Amino acid sequence: MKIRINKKTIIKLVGVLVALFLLIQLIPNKRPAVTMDNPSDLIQNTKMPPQVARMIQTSCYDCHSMETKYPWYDKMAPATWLVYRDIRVGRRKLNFSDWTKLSTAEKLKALNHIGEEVGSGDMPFLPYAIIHKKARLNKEQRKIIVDWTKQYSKDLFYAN
Amino acid sequence: MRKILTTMIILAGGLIFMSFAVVPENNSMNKSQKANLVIPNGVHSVIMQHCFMCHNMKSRGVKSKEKLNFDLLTHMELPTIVAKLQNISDAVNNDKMPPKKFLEHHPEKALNAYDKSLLTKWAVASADSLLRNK
Ligand code: HEC
Repeated sequence: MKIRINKKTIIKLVGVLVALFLLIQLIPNKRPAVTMDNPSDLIQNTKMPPQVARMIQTSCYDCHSMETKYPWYDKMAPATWLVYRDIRVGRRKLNFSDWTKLSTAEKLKALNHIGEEVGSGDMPFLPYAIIHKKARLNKEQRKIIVDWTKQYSKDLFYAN
Repeated sequence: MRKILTTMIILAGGLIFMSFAVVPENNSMNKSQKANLVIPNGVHSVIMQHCFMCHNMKSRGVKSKEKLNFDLLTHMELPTIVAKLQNISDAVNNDKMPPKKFLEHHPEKALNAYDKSLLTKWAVASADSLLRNK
């Protein structure tokens, strides 16, 4: 059988793709909840340089806090399949909205991990950073965050 | 006869010399280089049997030794030691370590309930004591 590519086939193809896109929207995938009032939040409860607070809020809070911002393209499949999972897993591993609920040792562990992940460039998550330009961190910004994790760790350790 | 004797002496000398020349392997984790972090015998032996093969200076896995290196642990800054101890306790409690993939090929490396409790209790108590006595 010979496939002839003419106007008709292209229209059909586009039709099928649109139908498929609409169909996959029906697959249930619950959007992770958002709460804006988080009394245990890191930034609200910690004296930290405003610059660091801003960077962490922009680059990490979408996945590591309850204050996720969903742009329109993150509300549609197939993006949701990736994004929602990253948010669920990200929050489970590290949730800045629950910061003050952590013990000192747990905070030190989290800070140590943040230093490792940001220092090595593993965070923010690469696919996310490609799409969300604002979230990208350059070398200097990374160093500022890593230095902050070290300073804050010392402050916590030697407090009292 | 004398030739054989000389060869023997040279060989023996060579052997003795070599035994000095060989640098002792640095794979024996020091039990407590600092009084800061004491690793009792029982805990030490669990670590050596179940963790050390991946988390040491010479381990082939880059990630495993970057994340936790028992050759360096006691030399790290105190806040970092506490962080690592908390991580050890969490990883063992949540059955993240040793990794499931690894255990498929080395089932004998799995931690039993007794080892787990020994390790996590030690990690938590040590972190606590570092935080209290500074
Ligand atoms: C797109 C979502 C996303 C963004 C944005 C993001 N992360 Fe993550 N993060 C994840 C996911 C998913 C994991 C768990 C996956 C893994 O362990 O590889 C994770 C794991 C981590 C961990 C390891 C936690 C642990 O206990 O293992 C740290 C630390 C971390 N992220 C810090 C950050 C920091 C700091 C930022 C901002 C600079 C950031 N992340 C931005 C999704 C994200």
